[in-house]
Amino acid sequence: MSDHMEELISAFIDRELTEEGCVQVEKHLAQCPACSALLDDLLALQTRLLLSLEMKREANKCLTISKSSFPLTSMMN
Amino acid sequence: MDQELFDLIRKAASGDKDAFALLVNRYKASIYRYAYGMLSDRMEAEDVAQEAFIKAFYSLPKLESSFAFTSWLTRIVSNLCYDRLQKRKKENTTPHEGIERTAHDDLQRTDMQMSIQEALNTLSPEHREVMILRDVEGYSYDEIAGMIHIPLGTVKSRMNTARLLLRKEMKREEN
Repeated sequence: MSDHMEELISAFIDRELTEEGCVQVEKHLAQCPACSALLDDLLALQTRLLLSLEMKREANKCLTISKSSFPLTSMMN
Repeated sequence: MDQELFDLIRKAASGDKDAFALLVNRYKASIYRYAYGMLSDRMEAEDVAQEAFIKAFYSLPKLESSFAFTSWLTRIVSNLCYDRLQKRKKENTTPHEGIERTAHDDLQRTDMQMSIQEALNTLSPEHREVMILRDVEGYSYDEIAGMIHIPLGTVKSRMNTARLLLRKEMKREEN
């Protein structure tokens, strides 16, 4: 796998590479089906994770804290 | 950080409960998502989120800079999640309700496929944490490093490892 860029692809997705690094990865992706497939998979996983946890949040209606939720004076001592 | 938020934090720090309630409304979604991502249990995630805000309310006057509020709050919920995970480990228990599934999960999967959250649960808490902070909450590597007190290079390598492990886990289930 030494010719591949597994370690850089994650940072590439996160836009955490330098401009030079991005160019290097883009060039590699254009000619490496394995790394290109890895990029597609990681992007798909990222979207699924985000959607999954976002849906859970939407389903959660219980977490509301208002001024009246503060019988907390007893804890202040 | 916008001025409105800065003012809100300052007021909440001086004991203004209305200001703090507004802060809770602003942050509760991300705090809950983080807790659920770490714990995979709705009730525990709600408990931890509530506890985090209560702790934050009483500790807020001690916060030195309002600009650090987001990372400080994330650190509170992170510590609470790790405490729960440690407790589970000691008691050898699993989440009360197992992995929850939504209609969306069901649309995305066949019966033989692992849900993304089941796969996420196979990662270590350290790997789960960086994935949630980056992929769900959208923090930069630099911000994550500051929040959980690890070097930038460690954030980068943890993210990479977490993603590759998650992919491997999902692929393993597909085969």
